[in-house]
Amino acid sequence: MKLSSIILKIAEKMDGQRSLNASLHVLRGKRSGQTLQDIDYFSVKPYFSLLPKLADETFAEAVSSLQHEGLIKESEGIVTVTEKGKRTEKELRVFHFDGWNYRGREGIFYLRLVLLVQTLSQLRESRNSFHPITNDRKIQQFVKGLLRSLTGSIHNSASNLADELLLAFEMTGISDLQASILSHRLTGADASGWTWEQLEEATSEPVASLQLEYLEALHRLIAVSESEDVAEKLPILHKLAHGIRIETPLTDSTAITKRLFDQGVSIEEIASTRRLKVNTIEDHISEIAANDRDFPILRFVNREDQLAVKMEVENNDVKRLRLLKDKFPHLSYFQLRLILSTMKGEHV
Amino acid sequence: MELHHELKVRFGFDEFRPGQEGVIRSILQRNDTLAILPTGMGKSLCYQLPGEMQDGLVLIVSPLVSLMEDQVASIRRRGEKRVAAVNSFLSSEQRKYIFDEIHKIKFLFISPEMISRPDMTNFLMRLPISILVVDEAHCISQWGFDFRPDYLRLGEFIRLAGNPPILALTATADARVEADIIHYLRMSNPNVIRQSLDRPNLTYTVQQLETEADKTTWLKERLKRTKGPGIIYVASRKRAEELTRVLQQEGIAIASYHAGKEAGDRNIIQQQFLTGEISWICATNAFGMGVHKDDIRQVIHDQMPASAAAYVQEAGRAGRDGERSSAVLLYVMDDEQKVRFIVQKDLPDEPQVHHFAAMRASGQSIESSAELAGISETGSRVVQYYLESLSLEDVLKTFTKLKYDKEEKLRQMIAYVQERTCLRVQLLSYFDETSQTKPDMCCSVCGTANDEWLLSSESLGNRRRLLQWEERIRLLLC
Ligand SMILES: [Zn+2]
Repeated sequence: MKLSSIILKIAEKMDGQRSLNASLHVLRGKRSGQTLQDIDYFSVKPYFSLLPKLADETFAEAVSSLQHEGLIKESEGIVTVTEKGKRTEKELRVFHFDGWNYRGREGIFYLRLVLLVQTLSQLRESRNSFHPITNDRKIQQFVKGLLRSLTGSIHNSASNLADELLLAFEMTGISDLQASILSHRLTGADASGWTWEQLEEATSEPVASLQLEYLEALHRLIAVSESEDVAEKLPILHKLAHGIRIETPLTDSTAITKRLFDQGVSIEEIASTRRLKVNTIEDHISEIAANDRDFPILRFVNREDQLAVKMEVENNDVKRLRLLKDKFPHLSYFQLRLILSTMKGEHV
Repeated sequence: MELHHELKVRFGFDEFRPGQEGVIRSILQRNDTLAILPTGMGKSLCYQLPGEMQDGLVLIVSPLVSLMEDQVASIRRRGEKRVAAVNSFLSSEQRKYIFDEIHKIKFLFISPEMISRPDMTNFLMRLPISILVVDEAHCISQWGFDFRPDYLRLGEFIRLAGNPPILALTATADARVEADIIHYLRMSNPNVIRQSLDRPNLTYTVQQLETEADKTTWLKERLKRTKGPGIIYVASRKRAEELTRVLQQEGIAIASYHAGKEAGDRNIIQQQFLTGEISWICATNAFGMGVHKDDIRQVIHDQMPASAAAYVQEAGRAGRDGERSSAVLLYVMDDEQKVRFIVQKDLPDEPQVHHFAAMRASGQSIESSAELAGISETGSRVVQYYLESLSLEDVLKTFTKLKYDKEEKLRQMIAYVQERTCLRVQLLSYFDETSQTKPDMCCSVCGTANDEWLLSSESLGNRRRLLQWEERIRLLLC
């Protein structure tokens, strides 16, 4: 799996409406009002915060390969997908990421799993003293608690976990390569995990590609494990997935703003109480709007303006803020963003 | 009080290792004690045994979180659960838990920056501290190779805590570092117990070569012909990566290790090295502390370290099991220039210090002042510390002195590779020791660095095979 394929998917959704940076912000999970509204509006939530540490150069490299192959074009800061690009995008397989709901927390699930497998594997060989694969105290405490909750012998627990993993891997629909990556990153008593470089050598797939496959597989594994329907079939994995999904999609700071906003405090007042810029509070409000079907948009825009903007978007398929701003100079960018955010809700 | 009996009952050992008994007796008599014991000689027993035998809390100051966690884990493993660690990685919730449960704790590990926080100092100074242990005590000395300014603040804490008995532990300290430790920790009439650094089972070799490329060729041949487990120490991440690739192509089971690698991979590599799945690690000096592998047969330095103390520490990771082992240092003529550059880059020069001080005075943060003045992160911590306690003029003087000292340290290494004096004798002389006996296989200068015993091709060959995923899961758990 290539990063460029993911970028192509995002570009196809935002075709002709957004810059390259908008895709980068999505992948890194930027918490600005603009990005939060984009992911909702263009339905690219699965890619949100997929790669929080994505480097500029890595992104630029992937983009230039897309341009080089003639799949995307960039002019005046806007990306369009070429005909060839559209055909290529259609041929790509469907990706099953869920960045919006996990946002990097899949790593916590994986560390819990690795430590649990290592511990069971060591204990069943009667080795009570070993070097834990992670020094993270929280992870260690979690796994300790989980081990205490397991009934039956260590041998039983270990083989139960094996059965659960075998079953869950089947249920996720991940590829053999993905199952192979997940299982070889695990560490046991006499079989340490494999480093990314070692996996690259063994599979002839580049590290970057393997890491994306791994990420997708992990998202699917967590999705299967956390579902209430399987709590009985996959009891251990179900416990491991506890608390991984983001419960409140809002950022902490936005949540504070929301409390004040819900009490009817104005943006300016919130800004001065919280000693933040008005811009920042507006970003928070956009984030709230994008996540709340019942957002009281009338506090900011009257019905006529809402309707006019919606007509323009639907009839002329214009979603670019700058173009909308040209059409409706009396509305602020903030107001336009709110209208776009709330539109999505009505269509559902 | 029969110490041997206590040792047997509490730890199951029949004998003390050299040096331990003297240290423990000194501490039990509540004397301030400085113990200079070589790595791998069981330093932690020196506080664990007297700690168990006395009432009160043993407070252990430790410089690295990884080291701390390692020690906590090893104490837990022997069945002592009254142990905890406080460092900046703990959440305030976890910290509060430790505070509430402090009366149940016997051994508390803490990082030096935590101990000097006012809330922490306030809390700790009211506790009955039976021993204050300062681990890696050489970090307190600017003459040490691993200076940590935070350690200097310990003196103040010790005074506030009412001068509990102090046990300072280190593997290496020359006369000046020793004096610094005693001075800054305000130790009174301390017992200094120094165990010889000599490691008779190590054979030292200096291998002079013509070019950098020759080093790679030499390493290729060496690893194909001789056995591991072994560590190659290199000067940079880039070199670690490149060298590892070359050696892998020769079929050697080796992996690289440095701070730039993903944490998951770092742990996996350590694990593979411990289990013997790989024979070699090619690492920067980020690798070593807290790694317990007794059967390392070779430590090879691709580049000289910045001081003899660092060299003794790193090479000393070989042969902790007491079996014959080899320490090789590769050298080409212009190496000292490169090392000099690396060593001096953390030390700001005069204009940089002026710039930094001016930025700080204008209200900039430490980080941005350092960045604007072009000072490294380590460098900025050192400057900041001195600026708090000294005049600008004195800070500059101190830096000049430090620069000079680092150069002097480097000269020890240059002498080590160039002079025709027994390598063992040289290394010991830097720590004011004389060699007691000369082993049969001493060093390359003595002409007795015979490596025939190392010959073997067991480092070759990949012992790892990618399995079907079902098979892999069963291998791990069934
Ligand atoms: Zn010699």
